[in-house]
Amino acid sequence: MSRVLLILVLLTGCADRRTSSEDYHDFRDRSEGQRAGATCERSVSFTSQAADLRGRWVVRNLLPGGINLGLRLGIDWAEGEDGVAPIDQVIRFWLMEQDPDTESPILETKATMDAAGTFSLVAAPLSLGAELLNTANPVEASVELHSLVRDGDAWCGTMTGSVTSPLTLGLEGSTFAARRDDEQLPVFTEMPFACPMTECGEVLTADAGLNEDGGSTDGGVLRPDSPDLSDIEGQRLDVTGDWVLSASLGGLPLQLWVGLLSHPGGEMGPDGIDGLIRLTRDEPVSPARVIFDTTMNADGEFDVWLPGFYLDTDVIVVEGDILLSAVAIDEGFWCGRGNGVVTSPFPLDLSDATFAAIRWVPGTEPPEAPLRACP
Amino acid sequence: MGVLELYRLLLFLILTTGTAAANPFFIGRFDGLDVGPTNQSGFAVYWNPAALAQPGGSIHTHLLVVNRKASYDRVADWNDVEPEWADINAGKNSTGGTGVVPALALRYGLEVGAFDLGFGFGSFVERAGVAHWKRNLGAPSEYPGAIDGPQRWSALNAELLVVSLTGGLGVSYRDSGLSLGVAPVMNFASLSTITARNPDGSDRVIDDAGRLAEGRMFVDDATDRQLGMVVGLRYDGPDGLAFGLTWQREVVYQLEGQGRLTLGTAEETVIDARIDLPIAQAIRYGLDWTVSPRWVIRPMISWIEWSLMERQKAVNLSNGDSLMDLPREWSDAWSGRLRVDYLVSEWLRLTVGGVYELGVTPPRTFDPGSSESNNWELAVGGSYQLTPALRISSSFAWQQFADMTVTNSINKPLTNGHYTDQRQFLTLDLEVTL
Repeated sequence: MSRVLLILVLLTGCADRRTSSEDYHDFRDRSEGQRAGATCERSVSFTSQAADLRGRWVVRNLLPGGINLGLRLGIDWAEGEDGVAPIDQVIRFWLMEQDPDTESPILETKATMDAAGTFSLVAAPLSLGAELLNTANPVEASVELHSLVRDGDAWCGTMTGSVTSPLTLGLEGSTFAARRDDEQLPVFTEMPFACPMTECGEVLTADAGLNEDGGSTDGGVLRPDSPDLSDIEGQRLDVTGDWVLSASLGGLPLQLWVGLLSHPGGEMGPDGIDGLIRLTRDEPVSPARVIFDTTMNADGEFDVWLPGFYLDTDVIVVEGDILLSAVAIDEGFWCGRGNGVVTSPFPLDLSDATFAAIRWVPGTEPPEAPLRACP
Repeated sequence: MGVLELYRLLLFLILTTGTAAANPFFIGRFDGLDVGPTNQSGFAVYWNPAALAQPGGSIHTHLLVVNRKASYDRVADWNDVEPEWADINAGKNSTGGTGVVPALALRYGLEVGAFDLGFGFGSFVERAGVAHWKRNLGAPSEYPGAIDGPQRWSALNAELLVVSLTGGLGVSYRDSGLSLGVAPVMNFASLSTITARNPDGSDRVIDDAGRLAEGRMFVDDATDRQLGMVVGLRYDGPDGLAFGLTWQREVVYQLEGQGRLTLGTAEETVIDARIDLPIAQAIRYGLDWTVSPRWVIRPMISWIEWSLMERQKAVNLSNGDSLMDLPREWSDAWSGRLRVDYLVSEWLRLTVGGVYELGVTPPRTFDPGSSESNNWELAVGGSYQLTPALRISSSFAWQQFADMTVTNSINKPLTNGHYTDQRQFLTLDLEVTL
């Protein structure tokens, strides 16, 4: 009955009658692309190796929801360990605000590092204090840190497991990085929180160098070569914002709304870019039609590789394997050239495709005669 | 000066010097401007069941149209919002809308020797709140939470509804003028609410790696039912004097439902959750003073023990751990009201009146969700006896809340800023005498 009356309460007037449930599911739809994570594979940009990690460490963990968790670790070799891999280690945990010299560890565990420098730390139960989640009860977690050793002064990795109390919060996607707790230790907020990673499309070779993956495949689709943009002067810029992209795909005009979110790579590598593609007539609350991520190099160049691209514009359906190689010109303009193929509505070779993008306010009219190529 | 005159004078002085009562979520205005402990309509079953003890019967239908317009301006500098996030986490937003709430009451009374007995039944919505904040369609789409406005960290959308069914009994010893009544009230409460939420109480939108950090906490149709009680006393004295006193028992709802959390990039967490929602006990004391054949003065004071709302909590039902523990620090609520009736004719009565209420929410816990500041209300209305058996009445009231500027918030995330709020109430009542 309460539902019937609630409907009656909501019955009249000019109120926006969205329900809480609709708002929740709208948010999940809108954020689906960003929650789904990267669409291109990256790998750690160093070769892990066994090293002597004995000593004190500070570990910065980045958990879902933006939570920065600091831990202090003390690592010793197990009794009788001679330092030849596999290396048995005894690892003690303290909270960041604790003093290992005067306080007992909150947890002690063991881990064996193999010759490749990998080891897993199982920390369960890990009591993290109430402040972490701003609750009245201590936060309990059960975690596993999957570690790679860069050298004797740095190791890093990913974290799995979950917060188990006061609520269940999966930690999939969490990362961490550890530095020796000595005079070289940077301020906590400036510490890295993940392993340095390769750019999209790069793979780590056996000699630990990085090679361009010019012929890599994605879902069985051969990625074409990136068009040459060396004749266009670009610069590394923050391209965060909404853009209207006007393209000429082998004579087929196409206009799209592209939302970009840059995040500086800092010492972790090149700038990352998360992207969404919508039609310019789409509502801002509508889910993205295509999501992607990429990286921008020092010259402001970034590739958007869209294998299996599918876009239903209600007039035509555009399908193909599309590569857009872009370069940021200034704060309000980026442009580039394409490659790949369109298979629908009719076959097109995109080796001559061009495009240009300008900043745009969603909901407003897109430009009528836009640039479709770099000047 | 007799005792009654002294009492009347003291009460009048108390009322005209202005104590007040804020009453969050309260929309009960059954019988328009005749609300209060001296009400003698079918809705006496709610206002004072002692007044049920009168011979005869009636069916009373009530319709309330309520309109609200409120705004919150989250000032960037006062809420530690960095300039780069000002478009997303600061600025002004508003909520508003109109709703219609019906109610029904029945009354029947009879003489039994020296006593009058009365029975009543009612179905009404005493408390409800629907708050949909406007969307910021100009928000950058790469931040998927921003479209829900800068107030989203405290209030994004909520639907609270308490539907009540009551049956009451009143007894009067006719010669004494004294009546006593009691009405158990079964309340059915439901709450759905959503806010933006980060696990650590921050208003971070992306994390240090540039990934989505902002999340949502959604409580889906949490419900509870609790038994309340209204006990009333009425005295019909000489010289056209009547007064009423009612006590409404405290009810603590333990609203249980499914909680859904999307926190950054983590998998959705679904839990069984309980939110405590206390509704404070209230005492209302009013007087009808027939000054002359045409003029009636009707003052009322009320006290509500909102100081019980020290904190508001939610727990995980599976382990009893705290999911939410918000400081409220509300104070007791006082209100003063004065109505003046003018009997134009045997059939027509006009009423004007005003109310002053003290807000219960201190500035440091003020937020866009449930807080109310000091407020005043002006109302006009009329009642017309269409036939000897049919009375129709209507009223309009404007409730204006004092603009609030908060700079010392202790909420997480901070809720400093400028607040405005105003509400209008239009009532239509139809009472058929049996």
